[in-house]
Amino acid sequence: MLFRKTSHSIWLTASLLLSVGVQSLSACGPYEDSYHYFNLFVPEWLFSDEYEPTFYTADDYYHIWAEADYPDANLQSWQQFFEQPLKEEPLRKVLYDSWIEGYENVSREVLVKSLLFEGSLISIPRQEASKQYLLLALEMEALANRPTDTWGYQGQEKLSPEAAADLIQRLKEALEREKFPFLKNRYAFQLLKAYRYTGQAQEAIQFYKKYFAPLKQKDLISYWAMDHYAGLLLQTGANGEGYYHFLKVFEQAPSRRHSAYYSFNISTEEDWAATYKQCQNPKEKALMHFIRGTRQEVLGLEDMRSIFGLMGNHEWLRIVMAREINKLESNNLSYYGQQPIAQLMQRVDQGQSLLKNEEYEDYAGQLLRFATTAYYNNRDDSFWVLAKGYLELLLGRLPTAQITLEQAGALDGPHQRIQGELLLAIQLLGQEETLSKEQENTIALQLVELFADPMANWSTQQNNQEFILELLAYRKRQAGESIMARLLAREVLSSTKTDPTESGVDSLLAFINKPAHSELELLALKHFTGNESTWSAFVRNPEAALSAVRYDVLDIKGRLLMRDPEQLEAAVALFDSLPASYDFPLKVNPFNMSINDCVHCAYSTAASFTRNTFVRKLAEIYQIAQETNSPTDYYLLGNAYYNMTYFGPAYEIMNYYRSGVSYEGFYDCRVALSFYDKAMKYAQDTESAAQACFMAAKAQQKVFYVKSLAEMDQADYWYDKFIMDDWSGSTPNFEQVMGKMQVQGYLSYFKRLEEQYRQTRFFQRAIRECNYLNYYVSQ
Amino acid sequence: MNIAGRFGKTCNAFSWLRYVTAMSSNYLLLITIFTASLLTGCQPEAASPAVSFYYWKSAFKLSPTEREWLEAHKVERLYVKYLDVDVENGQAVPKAPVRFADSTYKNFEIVPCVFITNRTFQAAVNPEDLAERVWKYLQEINTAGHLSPTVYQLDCDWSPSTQAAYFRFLDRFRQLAEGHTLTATIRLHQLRYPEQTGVPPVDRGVLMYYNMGDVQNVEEPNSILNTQTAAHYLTTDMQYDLPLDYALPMFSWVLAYRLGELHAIINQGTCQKLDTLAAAAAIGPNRYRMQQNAYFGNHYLNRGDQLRCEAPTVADLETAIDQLKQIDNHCEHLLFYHLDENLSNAFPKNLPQHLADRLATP
Repeated sequence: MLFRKTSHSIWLTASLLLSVGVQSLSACGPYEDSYHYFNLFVPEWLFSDEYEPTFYTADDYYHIWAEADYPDANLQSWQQFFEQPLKEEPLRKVLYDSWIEGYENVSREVLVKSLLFEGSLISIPRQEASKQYLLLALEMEALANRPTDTWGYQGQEKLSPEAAADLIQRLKEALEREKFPFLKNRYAFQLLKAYRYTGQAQEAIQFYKKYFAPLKQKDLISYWAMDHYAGLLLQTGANGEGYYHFLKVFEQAPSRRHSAYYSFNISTEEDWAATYKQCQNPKEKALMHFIRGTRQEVLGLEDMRSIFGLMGNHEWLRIVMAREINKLESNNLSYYGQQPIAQLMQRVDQGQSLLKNEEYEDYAGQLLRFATTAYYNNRDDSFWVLAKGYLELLLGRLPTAQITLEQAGALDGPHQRIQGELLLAIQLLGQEETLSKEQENTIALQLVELFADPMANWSTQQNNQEFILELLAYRKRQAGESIMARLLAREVLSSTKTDPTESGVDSLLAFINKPAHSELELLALKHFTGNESTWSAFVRNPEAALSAVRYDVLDIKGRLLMRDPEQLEAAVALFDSLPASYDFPLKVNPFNMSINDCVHCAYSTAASFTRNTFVRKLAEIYQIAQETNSPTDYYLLGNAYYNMTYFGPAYEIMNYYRSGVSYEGFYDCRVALSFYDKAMKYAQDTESAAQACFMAAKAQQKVFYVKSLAEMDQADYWYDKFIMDDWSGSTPNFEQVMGKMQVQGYLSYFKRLEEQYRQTRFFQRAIRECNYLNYYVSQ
Repeated sequence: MNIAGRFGKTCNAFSWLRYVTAMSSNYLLLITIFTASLLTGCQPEAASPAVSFYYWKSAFKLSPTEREWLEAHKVERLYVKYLDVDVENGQAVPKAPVRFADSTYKNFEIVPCVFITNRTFQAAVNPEDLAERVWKYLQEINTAGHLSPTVYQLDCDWSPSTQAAYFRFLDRFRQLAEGHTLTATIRLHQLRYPEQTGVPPVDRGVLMYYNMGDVQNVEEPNSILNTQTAAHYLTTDMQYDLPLDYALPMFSWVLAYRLGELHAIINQGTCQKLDTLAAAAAIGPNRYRMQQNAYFGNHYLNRGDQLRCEAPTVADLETAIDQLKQIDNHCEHLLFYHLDENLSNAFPKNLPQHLADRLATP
């Protein structure tokens, strides 16, 4: 097998790639808001910002050219006209009605008249002429703006026909009068719009032809006028001419590119042909294909062929190809959703493509044929190496892809990054045998340098990096290295702390304590513990770094030991072995009881314990209780074990966090219940027995909650569903839950309290303060 | 008694109309006239439901063909979509409001219809507020058109997660529309499983007897009207807690599948139009494949795209009527979706009345 034979060479290539030019790597991968897909073919790495809007996105709400890009261009043109700098913020407010701090309560008219030019060095004639124009332009908004009331059928009232005619007349006069060409063109633009918005399409067209068309030097506003003219032509049925003018606006006026791109919306063969006929040169024709080929709803191959025929190996061609490859990735490598990575690996192991059906394979095959032709005709263009290699990879031809990518040597600039990640992906997709330490060291370096991720953040928008990590995690899982699989699947210390298990923590400790970690293992541990230092600092002194990780995990281990009272001594010893910084003062005294739970209340009886001194005291009490059957000590143990659960105010001793949506960490009140049972059993007076019985009822109630939640349809649960305070006005729920508790035997301590301790003072107090008990007794 | 027995031989002649849609338009016209003359002899025993149409375009302007259809059936009532309601940036917004571009609507009783997307109620909109906004918006349209409708229709394919919100919306709307008749559309699954989906708090329902197939599935035979699928939802003498009118499809479309997935729905596309598209080659009944890129129905289709043209056949519509008879209900209006310039190319002009009569026949 060619692939097996050559698999070792990939590491040489990878090492070579890493040794060249990695210092210059800085840009992140693409921003994919909705995280639809793994994206190895990162267009942001390959093409200039100018074309960014054409890059593929799988998110329907982030279409290309979604951002209007003209405000700054217009602002700059005004500043150029003024010749002297003018404060930008008030000007921005005048032009765009932007919210500007300090000008919230000033109308734009007032700004123009009295504040905009205050103290400026702009010549008076320019100031006055500008003021006149801006005030008239503000008046125009009443005619031109979209309705502001979304729920108004008639929309915002426009100017009356008389007022509109008057406005047009004044615009004509101002146009005639104006001497500054900059402002003259703007008056003409306003007049064109005024014709259009008063339904005078023919007048508007004639005016454009008379005023703007003859202009030899077209400024920004002339192209804005052309944008309107194009729309007017479509309105009057001159579609070919109209679309052609949108093409010109797209090409010549970046400030209207967004508008022109979406207006260039040809939907018939006739319109396409008519527009094509208008084109003056091959470049314009190629631009037509570029715009069409980058539309969200189009497969770009045919337009790529046309661009190639018209312009050869033009950048537009490469951009469309990159889009098509991204499209394949988006629709086939979406492993966050329904297709787990295992399915992909299964396909690869069976020698199939990475694509989900024959139609995709057929299309990818056509793209590959095109890329191969381009590759052989343009051997000095690294893009086609990548395109060919990646399409081969997507089609499951891993050995061929590897040869394509390796034979090209180290590619130039940004192409090298994609070459590196593709080779890494090929290696991980194809290599079934366990990774060697040397291989893991190389991979660690690549994860840091190839993806420009020195902090090992991993959970960034660099979803191409996550793809590599998913592949690695899969391989580790297959090799039985469950800890590494977990870490590479981006488990972090904080998530381990949320709901730890003893076996999970023990295996983590064993992993940390093992000798001679590979650099990949160290990197995984760095990511696991957080990102306070860079990778280079972390790896410089791995023992110190590992020691910190070890303490963190031992602290988790100590808290887990505490769950079993028999292990309290062991927990004490473990906590004592940790640095002093792991100890902390307690906010509440866990031995205290309260009739009503309040997790976040500030209790009047402040604690004098630290965590460690408290655990030591707990262990002592446990020992005394066992030796003497002291009801008081059992009662205190019960309180402590109740208060340290999710439901108690001292939850911080056993838990790191308290979830707002579900029970997590230590929430088992059965331990407390067993202590209260013993407190009742050995009680020497009815008052203390009643108190223990009541607390047992509280613990029993929480046991019921936990059991109910486990059995419940999660969609039917809401936070604190069982808490009575949240039931105000919802008695049926309350009765329903209490009824279930009764039926299932979870009110036995209330029953006992009522039957045996009704005459106690504690019972009288409890029934006043506890609504649950009150409700139970009243039934 | 079977249909042949009731209508005699002349009525059977109608059933072969199912073949006509594949024929040329001239021939179709001849056959239509012929069968129309035959059908005049077929009279139902009970009063037939009134024939009505949906008008679903944003600019209301009746073409001569549309007027002919309405006159042929003495249509008095038109169900006009006044607006859609959808969400944008988490806010419910009106979309595509109707504009009365001529005055022909004044010859009809207009039933304002509002289509509300299910996701509107999935968003955190207040249903009561929305009802008030929609009601106000409808009144603004009525005022602009000098209309005083007595019936309103709301259309939303609600789901378990939106049922409560939608029904709250209807409750509030009903208060606002006091003195008017409020109707709501009912989908087949809502008819079949009222315990799960609930019954909307309105005066009447309109059972939408179309769009019942899996439009996403490239293998689906006919997603508009699939009487085999429909049969699963109906039982003999089934009842519903609302009196129902019925809505049947009279439209066609072409579904375009790309790379194995639904890519586009091309409204008003037909097999006949595909037959004339040089870039498309037939690959089976109602199925085509694009041989090269080309524009079709305002869509740019790509080589390899698979197309399926769909329209209900006359036979399917007859079967649908027979199926609807299983419901224990008195249908007052038989609605057709939707009135369009292209109806004549695809359906015999007297088909709506024929179906209404068939429904009235025990």
